[in-house]
Amino acid sequence: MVKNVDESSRNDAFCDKISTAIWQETPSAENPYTVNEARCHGYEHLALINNRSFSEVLFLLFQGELPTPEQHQLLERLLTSLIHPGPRHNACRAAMNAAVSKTHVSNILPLSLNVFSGEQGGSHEVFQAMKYLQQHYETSPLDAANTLTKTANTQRMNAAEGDIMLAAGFGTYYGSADTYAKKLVDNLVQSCTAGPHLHWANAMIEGVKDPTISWRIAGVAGACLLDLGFSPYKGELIFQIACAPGIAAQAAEKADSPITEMPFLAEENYVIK
Amino acid sequence: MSSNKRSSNWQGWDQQRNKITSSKGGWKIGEAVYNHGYSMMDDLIGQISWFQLLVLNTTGRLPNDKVATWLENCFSCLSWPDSRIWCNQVAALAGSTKARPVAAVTAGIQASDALLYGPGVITHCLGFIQQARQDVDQGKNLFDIIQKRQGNTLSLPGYARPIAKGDERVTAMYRLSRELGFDIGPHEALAMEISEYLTKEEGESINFGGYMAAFLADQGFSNPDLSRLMALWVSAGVQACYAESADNPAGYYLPLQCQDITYTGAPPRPLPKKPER
Repeated sequence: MVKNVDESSRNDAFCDKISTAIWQETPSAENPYTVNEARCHGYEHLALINNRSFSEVLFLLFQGELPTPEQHQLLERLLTSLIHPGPRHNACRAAMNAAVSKTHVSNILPLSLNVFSGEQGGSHEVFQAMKYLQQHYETSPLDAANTLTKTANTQRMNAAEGDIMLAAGFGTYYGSADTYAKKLVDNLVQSCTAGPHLHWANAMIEGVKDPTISWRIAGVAGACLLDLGFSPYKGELIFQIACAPGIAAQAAEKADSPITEMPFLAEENYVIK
Repeated sequence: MSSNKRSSNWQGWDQQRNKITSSKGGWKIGEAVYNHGYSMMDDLIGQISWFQLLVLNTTGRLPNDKVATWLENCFSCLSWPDSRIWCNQVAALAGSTKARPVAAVTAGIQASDALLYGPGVITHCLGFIQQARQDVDQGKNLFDIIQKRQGNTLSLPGYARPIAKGDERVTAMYRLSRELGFDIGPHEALAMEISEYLTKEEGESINFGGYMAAFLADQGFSNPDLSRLMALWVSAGVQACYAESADNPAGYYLPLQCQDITYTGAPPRPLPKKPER
């Protein structure tokens, strides 16, 4: 029998008003719901519109200050590096499938970003990669590389199926090194002022004695976002924002296409066990 | 599709190309729709409930109607039509922007995947009670387990809850469990024992997630099946709050004047000249 228990309110001290340090709206004289002036971390919104880029204001929103020229360059190039996860990515395929089946356009990006939320190949891999880098980047990259090499060997001996992801953001991609992720990293390192996380991860990957283990896109994003001062929580959000344009564009391309414009597997290729 | 000849590293992926192999079932066009070997139209429609189908499709096991009834009531217990509750408020806010029903309801359901309540807590609740039972079976003292965990500032998943103490749903579902003829299993018994200890020591008690996890562990459910089954747990409450808000004029749900937000950030400042690189 369930004994009588106290079911009274805890009377938690909930706040009366929402507070924010990000955005300030000053009401117009005519109507307290309409805005006369808006400021982002103290800067007038209209001044930002006319004088700063989207990526600078994005940085300001999350960090509270405008980026330095070096930070701006790294963020700008990172955002463009991530702008499209590729049409084979499950999030893009979800967007295209929904588009041809005439899903309401308002739902396209939310549903695709849901698909894009995963721990392997999705945004949560970035969160976890950032956690991994935060925990290890002050240790020796060579020690970390040796640990990853040993773990890779163990996983291979156990014949694990799928990709080997030794630490989030680092491992194989379809069984091999992700050559394109490496190109993106090299480009960022050569063209921007790389910070300690990017350098550490590069040194770590160079120390891994397994040519199939390399950067994954989440590792690239995570290292850059940490160097830009983002927390893992903010980093995952920025990653979703960064990749959204490519996903959305894939859906828009298919919006007017017939349902036959996406594959529907033939009966002989659908096997019920 | 052609296969790449150098496929040693990606053989596993190549084997899956252009093919779906399903143990769940599917539609054999012109023949039948199969769910884990059952013909849906011949064996299931009109004969089993939606909750039995939900369990069958998710876990591969067709539960009896009592388990399905228990689960259905379990879903009702997390479907309060109160839009102050976080997931419900998300749907109400969506309704107030005239978002479409599917968008609003899925937004509310997503919000419920949380660490404080909803489907997001199930893994922790189930893991705790399964581990506690294992520990007790191995001769460990239950109260040592609790005190050690609390001493390490770890919470006890499945106990206490936000906003209010106790949990009226536990009483109701405990009663239903007995009315449906379920005996008290080892996980449920242990969960209630822990609850009684906490009530005596701290005035806290088991919450609904803790009770649900313990009861269903006794029915043979484990993760990941359980957290998958509960994905839509809050849906009926979310529906209610969306519907009411969507029926009202846009923006009528908890409207805020500019002054209703307290700004705590940097004071107004001039935009600096853009530095040259």
